[in-house]
Amino acid sequence: MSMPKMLSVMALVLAGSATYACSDDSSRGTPAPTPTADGGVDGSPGDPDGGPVAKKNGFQFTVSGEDLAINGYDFGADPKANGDPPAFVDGWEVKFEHVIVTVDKIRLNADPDKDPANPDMQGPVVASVDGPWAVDVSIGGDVLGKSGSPDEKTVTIATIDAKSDGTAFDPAQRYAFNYDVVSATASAKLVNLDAAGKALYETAKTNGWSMIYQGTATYKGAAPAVGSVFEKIPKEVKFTLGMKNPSSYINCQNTDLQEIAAGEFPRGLQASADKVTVAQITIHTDHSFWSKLNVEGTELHFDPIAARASTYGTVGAASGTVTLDDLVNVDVTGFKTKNDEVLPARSVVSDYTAPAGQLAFDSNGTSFTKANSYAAYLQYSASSGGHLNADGPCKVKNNYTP
Amino acid sequence: MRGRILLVSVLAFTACTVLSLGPTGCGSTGSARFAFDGRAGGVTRDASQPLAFVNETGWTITLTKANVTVGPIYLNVIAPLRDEASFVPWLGVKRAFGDDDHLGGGREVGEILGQVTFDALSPALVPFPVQGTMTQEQIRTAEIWLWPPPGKAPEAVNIDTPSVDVAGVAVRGDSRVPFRGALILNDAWTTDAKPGERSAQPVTSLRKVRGIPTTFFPTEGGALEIRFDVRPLFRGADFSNLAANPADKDGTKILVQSKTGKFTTDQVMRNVFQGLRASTGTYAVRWVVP
Repeated sequence: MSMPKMLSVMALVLAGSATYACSDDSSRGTPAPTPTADGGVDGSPGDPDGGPVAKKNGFQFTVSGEDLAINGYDFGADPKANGDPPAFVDGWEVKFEHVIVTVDKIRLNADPDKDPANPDMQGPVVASVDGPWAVDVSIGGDVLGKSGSPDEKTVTIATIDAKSDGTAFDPAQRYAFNYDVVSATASAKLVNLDAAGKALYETAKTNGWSMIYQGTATYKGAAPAVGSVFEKIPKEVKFTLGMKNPSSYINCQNTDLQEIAAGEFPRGLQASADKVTVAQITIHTDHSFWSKLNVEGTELHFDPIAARASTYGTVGAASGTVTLDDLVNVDVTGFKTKNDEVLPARSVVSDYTAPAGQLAFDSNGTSFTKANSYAAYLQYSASSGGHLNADGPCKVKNNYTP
Repeated sequence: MRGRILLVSVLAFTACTVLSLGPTGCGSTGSARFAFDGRAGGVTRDASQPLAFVNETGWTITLTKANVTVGPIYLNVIAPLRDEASFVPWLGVKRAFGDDDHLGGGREVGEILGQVTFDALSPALVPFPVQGTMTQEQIRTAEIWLWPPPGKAPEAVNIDTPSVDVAGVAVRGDSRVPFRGALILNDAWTTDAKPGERSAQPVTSLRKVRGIPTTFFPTEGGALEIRFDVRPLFRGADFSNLAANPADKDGTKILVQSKTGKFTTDQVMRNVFQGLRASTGTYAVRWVVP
């Protein structure tokens, strides 16, 4: 992040300090304020400003879904003419009403490079802060995000000013950064959820979801061929993808630091004596829609979700709904519609050519308890979307059985 | 894609990756280095019995042929991308995850720069035609590369040699489907995206199975043993998808891999492709000491 941007971030942080004050206890991090009587912390919907304020040489932790969680995925048939934004090749515009994740157990460890070949190997914990925090990244907050996009609004969840032993962080060292995404829980601080988000979170608690993507997809591509299965897909699909994919994100690489090799960045956070260092937990929402696991930049598809909508089956079908449960028995090695018809691969954009024949995804070396299950594939892929700062990859430890 | 840094871990094509028939030394220096033998074969079982099993879509599959070609082989100090959370009960093998571009390059300290073809229905181990070389370090993952045969460039797209060649019969209820198929890792599996475009990936990337969990500290005098379990290649295969496939005169269905034409890649062939490239469940790699 450039110096002017960092200064503007600091200004926003300081401006937000009126509501919540830093704890004087520097042995642990500073979480969001104490819960209210209903077990959550009510931020004002759309006004998550007022998060904890970090001190110089300390760290401020934010959560972001990038501008994509806030603005959604627009559709344009000629993506490169529009700056090549992430988009669905099969013609869908996807907007989120809620993208809620529950974050917990932020840990800074010594010696992130203890074993360059094994991110699991790191030194002992030197500082930590526990949530859990439920954050709706489709709402965001007032801290500008790491991507540089003015639309990436992130929300602060915690700060850590010093190590657990009370001593200051050493600006010459890097500290391994780790965090968890956990199942929705009654003990979560509802950092910025609005009323609808809170209601959705109650459902998430009941079902054990750790990530929830809820929104509306609208088909904006060219009219489908007469007689094709695509005619029978409703043009509007309301989706709720409640995912049980709690995972730990371990010893993340930091894309704020100087790249050390092609695509490789140093692990960990580095404090700065004269300013607050912002560490952003970034959720890449596009991962859920990849056609191939674990490959950034893979093209995105919504057809296999839409083809399972509740109203699929008639030309001009009314708006339909779909949940993750509808995708459990869907086979990624050969997608079919809700009526068991072969779902062809299609592209309605100029810069991607779909292969002929049936749409299929590539699990790329990954297996699931239920062979080829699209629900398992999707929520597994979603769990790969946790990063540090803009794009820093973490070792992902799945705390569930995909 | 906007705002995305494609964190592609590039494995440099050094002399280590050129298929040769002579032992070449690559990797780090400083630790003990030695040559070693490598062998590959099917899972340990009674070879006098046919290999028959029931897959997850309810088909009873009896294989009559399963020839597999693997190599080169690399042994890496890097840990698997993701930890397994629990055992997968099917076939009693652990599940691990991930592969490809989120797995760092790591450091390859052992290699066998040769290729071997073996009968995966037989437990007999077939030796690699060349010895491997190893720098004595803790090994955490293996890489099974599925390269074209010697004389063909690793990045050659149009090849005709299969990585796996299978035949058998699948039965479910009243349905009986004899089948055969040869999986060739050619342009049938690549995307149409050009380099630099969305989802563009070189053919070499799909010819590598990386991040296969294995843990051993090699000692001189030992050997590398690779066991190939062909059953995961059919784990989710549903042979009812072959109804429209081409067939031999005796009715044997032919598995198809093709992006274009009257017949395109079928669901069974896709499962074979997935299973061949699975980082766990298919390959078991260990160090054996006499």
